[in-house]
Amino acid sequence: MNCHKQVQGRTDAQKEQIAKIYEHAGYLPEGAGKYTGKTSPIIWNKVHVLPDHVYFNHSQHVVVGGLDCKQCHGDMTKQVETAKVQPVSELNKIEGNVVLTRPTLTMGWCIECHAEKEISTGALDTKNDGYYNEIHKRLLNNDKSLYGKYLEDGKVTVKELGGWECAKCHY
Amino acid sequence: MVGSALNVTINKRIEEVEISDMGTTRKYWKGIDELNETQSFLQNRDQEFPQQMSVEEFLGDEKLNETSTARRDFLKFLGFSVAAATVAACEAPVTKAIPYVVKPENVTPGMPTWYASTYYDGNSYASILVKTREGRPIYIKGNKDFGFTNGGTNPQIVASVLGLYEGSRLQSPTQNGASKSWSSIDGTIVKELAAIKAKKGKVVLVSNTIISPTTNEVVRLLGASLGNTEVGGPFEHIQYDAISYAGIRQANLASFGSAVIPDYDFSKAKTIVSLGADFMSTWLLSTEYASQYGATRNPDNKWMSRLFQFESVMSVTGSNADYRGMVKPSEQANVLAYILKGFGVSTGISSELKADVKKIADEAIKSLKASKNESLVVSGSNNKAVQILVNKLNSVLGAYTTTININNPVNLFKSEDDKMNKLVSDVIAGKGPQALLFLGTNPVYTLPNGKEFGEAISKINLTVSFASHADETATLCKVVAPDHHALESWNDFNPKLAHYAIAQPTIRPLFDTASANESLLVWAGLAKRGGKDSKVVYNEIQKLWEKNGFPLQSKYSSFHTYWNMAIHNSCVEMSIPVATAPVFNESSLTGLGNQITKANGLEVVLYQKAAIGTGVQANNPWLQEMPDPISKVTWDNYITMNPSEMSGYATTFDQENGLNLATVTVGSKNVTLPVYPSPGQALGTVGIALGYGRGANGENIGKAAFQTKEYGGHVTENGKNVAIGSNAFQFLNNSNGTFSYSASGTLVKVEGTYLIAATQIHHTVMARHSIVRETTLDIYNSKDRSRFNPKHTLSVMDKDGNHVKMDIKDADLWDAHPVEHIGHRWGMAIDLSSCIGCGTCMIACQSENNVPVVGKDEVRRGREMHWIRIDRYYASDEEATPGTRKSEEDFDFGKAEIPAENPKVIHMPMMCHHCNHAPCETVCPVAATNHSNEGLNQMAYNRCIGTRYCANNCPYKVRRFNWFNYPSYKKFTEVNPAQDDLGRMVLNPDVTVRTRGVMEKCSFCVQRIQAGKLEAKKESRPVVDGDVTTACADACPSNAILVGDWNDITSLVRKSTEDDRAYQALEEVGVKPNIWYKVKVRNEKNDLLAKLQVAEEHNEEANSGHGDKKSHH
Repeated sequence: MNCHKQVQGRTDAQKEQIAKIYEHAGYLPEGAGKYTGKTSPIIWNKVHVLPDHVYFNHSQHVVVGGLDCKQCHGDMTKQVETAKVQPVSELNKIEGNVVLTRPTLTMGWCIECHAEKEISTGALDTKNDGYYNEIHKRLLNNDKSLYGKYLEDGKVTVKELGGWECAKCHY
Repeated sequence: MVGSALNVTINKRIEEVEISDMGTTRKYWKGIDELNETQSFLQNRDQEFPQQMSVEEFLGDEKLNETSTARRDFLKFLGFSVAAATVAACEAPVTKAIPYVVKPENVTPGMPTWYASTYYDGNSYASILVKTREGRPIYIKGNKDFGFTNGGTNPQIVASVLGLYEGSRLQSPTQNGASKSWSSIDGTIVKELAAIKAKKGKVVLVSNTIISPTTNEVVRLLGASLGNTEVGGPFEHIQYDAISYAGIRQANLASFGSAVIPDYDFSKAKTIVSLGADFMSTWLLSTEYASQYGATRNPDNKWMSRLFQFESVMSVTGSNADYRGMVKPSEQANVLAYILKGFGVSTGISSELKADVKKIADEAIKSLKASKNESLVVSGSNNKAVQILVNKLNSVLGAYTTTININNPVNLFKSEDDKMNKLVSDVIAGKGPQALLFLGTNPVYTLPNGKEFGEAISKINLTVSFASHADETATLCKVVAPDHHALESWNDFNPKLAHYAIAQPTIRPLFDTASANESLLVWAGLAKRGGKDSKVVYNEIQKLWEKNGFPLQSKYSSFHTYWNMAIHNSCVEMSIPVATAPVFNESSLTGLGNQITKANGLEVVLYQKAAIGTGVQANNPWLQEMPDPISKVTWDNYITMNPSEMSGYATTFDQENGLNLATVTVGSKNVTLPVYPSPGQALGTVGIALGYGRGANGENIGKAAFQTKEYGGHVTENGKNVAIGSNAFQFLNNSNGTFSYSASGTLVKVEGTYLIAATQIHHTVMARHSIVRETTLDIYNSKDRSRFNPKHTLSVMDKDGNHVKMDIKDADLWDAHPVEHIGHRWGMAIDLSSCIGCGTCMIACQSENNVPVVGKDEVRRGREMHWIRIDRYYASDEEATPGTRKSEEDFDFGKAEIPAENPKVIHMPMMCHHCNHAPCETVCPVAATNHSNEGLNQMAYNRCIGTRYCANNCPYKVRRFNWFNYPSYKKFTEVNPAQDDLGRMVLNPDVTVRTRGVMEKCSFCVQRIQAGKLEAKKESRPVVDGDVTTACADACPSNAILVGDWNDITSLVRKSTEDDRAYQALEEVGVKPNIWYKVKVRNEKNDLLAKLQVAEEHNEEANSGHGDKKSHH
């Protein structure tokens, strides 16, 4: 329950929503408040249905890739509802987002971003990351033209390091 | 680099590929059919998909079939369904997400949780790790960090996770076959026991060997509650194992004064002499021994072990032997007597040996004399006298302070054969006890006179079984009190004197079952039922460990930390008692001659298979479909016989025509089974595997345990399901107080044939010899790589028209994929020296990658789906004869060969080679299979349209096609666990379940690669050894498979692939695979091989003038 013991909602609409939480947690807010012990899971409507044959991992994108939530979920500070993935037209309005054209949650959308989004601006070692430093070293040992080609546009994109390969997401 | 290689190629005309396999001088053949080039073999050899199939069958849709739909109509159906699917996609159905109310601390959706635990089923023991996803156990592997098994497991242990989700498990206690509540059966049993106690009646508990201190305590408490005192009483506990090792215990009692099984250490044994002990696969603590043995097989170590195997049936161990002698079971004692005579010990037993065996025994004596106390002699015989001879030999060698520790005895296998036999004859005579309880044992199936015993137990007032299924014994018991599955319950183990281990539950009990420990406590009046979340057993174990275990150590000052450590590690480290040499009691040698089992005529040898063992998991389709490591037969048992002796019995040798049937008779019992040609089978013997014929009376032990029809459904006879194979336990006999696993018998040919399903003759690799390479330790140590592992070269013509040799790796037809010096390049090195062919990797792969089970009929059509297979090649010495080696042009291997009676064997794991020049990729019309810049050959199932061009173009024959929708089509209901809601729970959610019409194959466990990389990225560090491994490498008990990032020049796999033994299979084809093999080094003296190489050496020296002494050693 945590915060919602204190935050009980100001408007009727808010109170109605929070009452649902109380019900599922088995909490009676009257008086000092007490738990009945009768709990039940909150049944949510699933808003994102990713097909079974594709694997998606948030930490790859957020922790490793450093993506901001708003790239896919929109400006959550202004949302009153679930942080659902927004239509591209909405996402493109947000400053700092990679501008994309394909409908969200389609493979076109994924790989369009993988082609645009940079892992590093400039060489990979500018990231100062133990993992990418090693990849940088290996690329330098290669025929330099490959790394040169990657850096033609001044960045190394996800696609250039294999982000378009089937088995990165499908297995 | 890319450009230059290309230029070289097009400028030079490739004249010929020179297959220079000077190091491989043996001809390996995969089966009798290949060797004999039978008609059907020739027909099928060149076809990837042997059977023709009609469109109707392929579609597998009866409705289409029945209406004889015209093609146009079919397309209409198709059009409709595509449209329907498209429309449905617009309006996605609302699905609900139901989260936890309170999320369990250790469950993160999408992340696996691992638990350390212990496996013990009465026959196999190992420290294991159990992987759970969202609370479901889905995968078992060996624990490499804790426990003496060192990460070693076997196929049965890995497959046991599937048993948890077996639909035919008893879901509640039963009484007279009817489902009852626990309180009801508790009431019945307590009342009956009280009545028996009042009448001073006798209660007997028959169990397999109990190594659980807690269970032993609970049993003692039950006994006490029935009136037992320290000296005995009305309650008796008899330990009885399906496979008895009583002979070893009795021999040690006679030789050294204590009835123990000592602790063997194969890692210290430079010479191993094994008399029919399959210690790598089924004998005693084989999980431990396989990893110990594997560690001694690296020829780059200071020393390499030498294994002598004298046996009757070709076993996994025998197939790995450096020297293998074929002896009948009755001749084991003679071999021991002969070797002992070599050490000046006379035994009074004949040391007459056949010439071929004598030669090997002489080598063994030489080797034993050289390695002295660093030797180990073991025997698989259950005969006390044979084991006394083994003890004497080990004693003479001084092995008792090095390779054998009698002060740290093994607690497994305490079978009391004599007591059990007494009980059985009492019960049959109607003098039995008033109550009989069966725990972890199924004597009606495993006793030679199980049938009579089963009929007699109905006369007993109270019979109780703790079986998980209504098995052969349980169906005849009044009450069945089903025990939890091992993955649902707490347990503790004391497998060796100085080792204690714990098993923890990894899932809440699925059904209304109860731990047997709890049941016994309840019936002793010492506990109350705790239901599904019962803590009764947990508390009992904890209490006992606090009282007995905690005081034994000083490292932990609080019991709490000690207990948490024990559960976290699954076992506690204890100091192992120092080995001392016991004094051999010479008088135990007298009169041995009379105790040796005599035999005349044909000897029938009963053995365990790696997958089926004693038949406890006969209902496990993964195990039934695992090809036997030697015969490569699935779903059946059979009579093994040396092909050289089969002329009188057999007219067909292959699975196309079926096998001839024969009846083997021992005493008054007989079985009729197909006769399978097994090179290496000792002459005058036949072998029959135990563990088959389960559920012969139609007992409901699981749908995969029975024969299935060609198009699905069980084969039935008189309304009962027909068992797979026949029960060979009935041939067991009693000799000198122990069960004997061999007997004299007769074999008579029976009219008719029987169809078997073998993977042996499928997927030939075109008889090219650049596939497996083998050398001897001597040659490896003294000669240059060009002797035992020559590089392939191309003879080409340069610009000036001169013949020059070119390194095969410089030949390129098209641009190479840029995999070197960019990111990762996943590579694998498989050491053929340490691969023992046990099959554990196959089951681990099946479990990890949701590989479907297809059933016998589909295996017969060559459509097994295993992503990894183990090719077993027999050798023939004929081929290595110096001087008869012909040039490649006119040497016809197939016709020149006569099967060796006792061939050498090599095991070769084979899976997708992830070729950087993959032939499959170039022929895919839709680019469904393509290359990643990490060197992976990827499969995009959604793109695949099923042309199967790729499989036809694969030189390794590792691609598998989904001919059917295995998880739903009725043909596979009986065999495919994914067909019911329960069985589906075992599926790995990280791996797609493939649908009909797509190709699949080894992905190099790409899901693990991605997870390993992500871990490194999150920690901002390069990927290092250990981050990424495949299921097969992870499971290998002998650590033969090494996986890693080949582009990391410090990685183990890189170093391994750059040493002198590394080669690539079919390298001359130029597909540039990412898998390397390491030349098998056999520690033997091989004159043929040595002579051949000396001759070659002379030739080459004359030509090139440089010597080839190796400098690296």
